Amino acid sequence: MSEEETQALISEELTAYLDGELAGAELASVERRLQEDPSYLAQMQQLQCSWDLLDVLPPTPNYDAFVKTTMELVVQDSDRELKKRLWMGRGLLTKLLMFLLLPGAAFASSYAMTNQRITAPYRKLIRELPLIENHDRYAKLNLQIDFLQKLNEAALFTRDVVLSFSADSSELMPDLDEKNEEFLSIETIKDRESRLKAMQPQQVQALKRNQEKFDQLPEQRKQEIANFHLQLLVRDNKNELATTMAVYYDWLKSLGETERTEVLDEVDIETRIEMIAAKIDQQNLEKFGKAGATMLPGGDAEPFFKWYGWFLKHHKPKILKTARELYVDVYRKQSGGKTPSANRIKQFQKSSLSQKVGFLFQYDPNQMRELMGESEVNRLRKQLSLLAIEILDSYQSQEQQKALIISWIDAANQAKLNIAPEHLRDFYNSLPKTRHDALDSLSPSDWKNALKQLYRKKRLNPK
Amino acid sequence: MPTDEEKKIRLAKKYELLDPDVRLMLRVRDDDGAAFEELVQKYQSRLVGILRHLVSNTDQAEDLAQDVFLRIYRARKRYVPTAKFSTWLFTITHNVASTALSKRSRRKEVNLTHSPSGAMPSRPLDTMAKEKSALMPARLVARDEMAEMMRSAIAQLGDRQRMAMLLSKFEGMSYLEIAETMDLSTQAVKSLLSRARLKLKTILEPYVENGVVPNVIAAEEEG
Repeated sequence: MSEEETQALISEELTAYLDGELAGAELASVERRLQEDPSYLAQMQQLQCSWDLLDVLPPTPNYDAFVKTTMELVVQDSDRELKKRLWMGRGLLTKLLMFLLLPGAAFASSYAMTNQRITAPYRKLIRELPLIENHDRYAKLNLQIDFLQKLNEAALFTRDVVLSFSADSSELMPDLDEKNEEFLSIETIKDRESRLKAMQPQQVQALKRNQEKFDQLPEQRKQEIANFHLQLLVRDNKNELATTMAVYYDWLKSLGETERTEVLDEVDIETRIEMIAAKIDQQNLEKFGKAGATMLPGGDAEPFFKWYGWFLKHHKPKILKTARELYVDVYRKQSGGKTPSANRIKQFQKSSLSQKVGFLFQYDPNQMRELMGESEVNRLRKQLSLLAIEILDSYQSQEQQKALIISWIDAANQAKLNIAPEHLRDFYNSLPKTRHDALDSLSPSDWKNALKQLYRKKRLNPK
Repeated sequence: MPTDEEKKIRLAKKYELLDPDVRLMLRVRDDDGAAFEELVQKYQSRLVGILRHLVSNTDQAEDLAQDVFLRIYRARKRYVPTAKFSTWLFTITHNVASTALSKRSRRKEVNLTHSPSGAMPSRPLDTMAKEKSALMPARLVARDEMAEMMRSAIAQLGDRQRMAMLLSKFEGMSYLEIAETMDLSTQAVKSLLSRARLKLKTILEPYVENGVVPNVIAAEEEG
């Protein structure tokens, strides 16, 4: 045996001894030699000394952000797993449609962790991006997922119906939740990085301000926000909840400081929702009078809304069927004869009843008129004030009276709908310069109210 | 005579009783997200720490640690405890790190040492000792430098030596557990650890003998 081999054997023996892996005769033999052989003892001490020096290495600290992003990755992976299973279970035609309709078809591509590496300076920002972007929205929900769920069930908030049809666009019926998809979709780190890179300077500034606010929060609060975010992500109806959350957040801005605090401070969830419903009703009544030339006395707004609620309920099946048929017709006309896919129809059907009525008004108001018979007119007449009845009776024919009621319905519908900010922005851009000048001289809140009023008037009297 | 299946069930029961992390993992198998979060919380620093020594890059170590957790989550439905949870976790870690290192090696990327200049300056032990023993702010700096020296020394071990050393020293694993984790015989583990100790002793000799921080040589591949 060479010297080297002997040394190797001694080292193995001593290492095993130091690691506590020897027993019985082997252990006794090593211990005996350590007592008898000083060079053997010195070798053991040297081996142990360098081993002990490893203790100088500091432990790796725990990072909350690591846990958060790992949990997000897992949720995202589960989402993909589910989609993949659905994918596997579908027929060829459906697969093809899914592929065409879901440009993101991410689950069809392999998941590669190595693609998600990013460099250090952005790491924290990227990890916390959804929290930074949404912490204020979450805070306005008092971080209560139950509250959001119940608020959604109460269906108090509806967005304006999507009206933009363009034959050139493949997105003939954009996703109603498109805006919210952005902050509630579970992104990979790479997605976030790309999104950050694509941001406009003012978006970056807004993000910075949000980040500063977020950074000032105590760690415990940050953790609570992260937990809320995760709870939201795992909900099956997360996109629906995100829409409700976004509209609720915008709606809160329409309240004065005192009213907003009153809503946010209400501890009991049920009471808070009742309070919100009451405030929305009040706002709808106020908006109703402003929504075009309704000619309806202010005091009649409330009975009219009651009648309108009954009317919708009574004709719901017919409205749903008519709206669906009209949607297919409009789609065909706009797209040069193409039939909308089942997915698009399903998406349309997911919109609220008010949105469908808005759609009918936009494309074929006569359909609504046909739903109204003499009994409906009489029922309304019984609930209105004498002054309102006089206004109604000033129209000679029943058809003219129906036309007036239809304009009231449209005004009510407009009053109930929240206008999506992007529609309002597009509408503003479409206005002539003189209108811009008149609007731009107003204070920001008056500017927004005046613009909304104008938008509704335009919708009621497009010509 | 128990069948293989019965033995497997008994073993699973044994680990379920003995190891609280196995019990957590069984909850993960039943889709309990909180249990998984607890495991991530519990093992993140140990995992990232080991991976950082293996790949010598904190960012990559964190990415790989997430990959390990993701693999564990994906495998949850098939999970049957046949060892301590940590053994299973570090087996996956070993596989993930080996793949990453072999990819790096194929790209012929040389793993540079931690000192930006490529070498650390030699400093007499008495200076270090003074800093270490005195109650002065420099003590923290000296400790950082020593940590850097140790990281550089570890980086010079072969990949498998390094893994075996980390599991033994920082995870307190027995040879049998390391053998299971790295899919080796206990004899091979014994030999790896022995060579790791010897190599560390050689690298650190200038410091142990004369108090001089050793020059750092570019890390070599598997030894």
